[in-house]
Amino acid sequence: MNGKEGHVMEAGTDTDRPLLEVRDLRVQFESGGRTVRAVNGVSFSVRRGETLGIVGESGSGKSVTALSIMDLVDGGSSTTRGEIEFEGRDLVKLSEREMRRLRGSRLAMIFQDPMTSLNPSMTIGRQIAEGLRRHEGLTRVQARARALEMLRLVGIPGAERRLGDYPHQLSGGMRQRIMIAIALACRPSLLIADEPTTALDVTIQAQVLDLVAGLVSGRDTALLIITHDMGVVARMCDRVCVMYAGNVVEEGPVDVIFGAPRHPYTVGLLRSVPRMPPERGVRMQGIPGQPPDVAKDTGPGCPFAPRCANAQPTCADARPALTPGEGAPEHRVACWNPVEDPATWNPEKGLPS
Amino acid sequence: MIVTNGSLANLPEPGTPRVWARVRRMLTKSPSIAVAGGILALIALAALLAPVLGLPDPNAQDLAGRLQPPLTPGHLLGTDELGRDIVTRLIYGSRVSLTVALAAVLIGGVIGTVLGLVAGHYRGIVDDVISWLINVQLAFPFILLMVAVVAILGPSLTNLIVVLGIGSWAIYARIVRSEVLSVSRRDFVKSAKTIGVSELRLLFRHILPNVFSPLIVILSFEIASMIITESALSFLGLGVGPDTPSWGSMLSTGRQYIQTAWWLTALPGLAIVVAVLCINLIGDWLRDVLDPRRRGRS
Repeated sequence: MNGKEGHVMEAGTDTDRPLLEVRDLRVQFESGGRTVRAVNGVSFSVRRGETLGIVGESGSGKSVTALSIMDLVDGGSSTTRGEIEFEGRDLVKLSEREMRRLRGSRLAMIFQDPMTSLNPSMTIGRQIAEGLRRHEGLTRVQARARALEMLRLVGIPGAERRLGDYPHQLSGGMRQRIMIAIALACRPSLLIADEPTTALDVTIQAQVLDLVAGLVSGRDTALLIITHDMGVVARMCDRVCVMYAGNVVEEGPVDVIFGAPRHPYTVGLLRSVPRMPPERGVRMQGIPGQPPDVAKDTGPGCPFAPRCANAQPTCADARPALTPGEGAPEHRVACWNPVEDPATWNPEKGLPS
Repeated sequence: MIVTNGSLANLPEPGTPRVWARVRRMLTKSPSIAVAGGILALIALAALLAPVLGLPDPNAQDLAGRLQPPLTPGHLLGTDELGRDIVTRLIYGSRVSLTVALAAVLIGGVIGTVLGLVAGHYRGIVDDVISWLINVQLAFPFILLMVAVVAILGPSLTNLIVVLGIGSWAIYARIVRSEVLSVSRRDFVKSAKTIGVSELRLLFRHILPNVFSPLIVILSFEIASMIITESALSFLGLGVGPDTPSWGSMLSTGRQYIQTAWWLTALPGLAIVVAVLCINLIGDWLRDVLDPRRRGRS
């Protein structure tokens, strides 16, 4: 915590405030005359040193949410509204120049595919050193020494020899370690990991996750993991936000969400996870239907209603707000007819009559 | 790995030494490149050192000894219609050809690369405008444009360089733009943005090196094509002034004697062919050396 104190004072916030607080974030794209609402009023917060997972299907807006925190949503045709308060500053209002100062130093991000995320024409030593030289004004030699230190930290064998290597000389798992070294080199207070292990071999996934978990807890870095993999959430996260069609539909501590999910969509997601070893006679269940087309207006009601087994005619009238459950202020759900008993509830049948 | 000793900790900052080691290895592996490079080096050296080689004045006339064939004593490659020594004129002519080609490619290459980078990376209206300019430039007959401009400005070395340079940016811009279109969408550019690199660094350190291979190849081919264009313009009488020998103007004047004195056209023609061929060979080879995915492999 000590290393962070100075920065907190400087930002003028007290330590009880969350590190990152996203309020009513809306991101939309204009493309070919259509408006795509990728993120539709998302709110969540990340405390210092905490690990938050954001889960959802493709197209649920989870990646766009992550990119909008970095202010790197592609294209000039997108608009971001709402507030993204990070270390006491609203990132939405910052200039590109100020954002650039934060990226890599306070905020860092790693992407899904380590095979394409490294510059093929630069040695990995230089790529790790780049942020250090830019943000901490280190000389070439100092940055090299720190890059070497980072390489050792992420467990690259023969680190000295690897500094001068080009990315194509490394395996996928190694490259993802390099990405982690680059991202954490300047000790950011928030690391965003967008599907960090999806592109890796299953055997490597666990190693990389453990590495990230160890590094962020050792450095008091908060971690925001974007994933569709409930297994990753269970392994890594303190809290989780479930996103659907650009909305957060359920939020809470991981054990609560896994133990007593209330939103029909969350229940469906958890039921879609294959069990190991497979239970005899238990058929893996999916969620019927398709996620809505983000380019179409979902109407005033709950966006999940068309696929929801619990849906009532009134669900289409108004969008449910994220509200805390009784006796569980940390566990919030946006649903008119939440699931009461997830053990007996069937996503294909609906409310017990 | 090109490291020979066991200790790697004291490896110098990677960069030039390893590049040179690679170059040396490639040279021994592909002798045709060594030959091409050697010939080009000779031409360049002769061009540079022409004034101190003790050659006769390239414009010294000797009407009594005109149209001497090659291997005449005192004139290794013979003399032209005014009795001027052809070896001397070829060497002085290479100065013009190489200067014009290199300078023009440098000017055109820099302008074209920067415009192509900007167009490909920022897209939108910037790209529309630059692409339109590229199309206009490429649609216009190059030689006709050169002829018109030189005719207006008058023939001189500087005018020739400027005209060839400015007239040839479009090809680089088009190549660079199309490469950047795909490169700047790749993940590593986004990654570079997440660590907050500046816009200039993003363009020139992250994107440009990844479009370098095609650019280098185009550059070398363009040097060759500039030598030819310069010769063509000189042939048409629009090159450098008549006092300065150049390969193109030698071809042009020799044309009248092609049936009686073949060496007047054959020799400068051969000089052009050899120079262009060597440059193209080296361009091809450079593409392989510069591609990082091919490094460290044979």
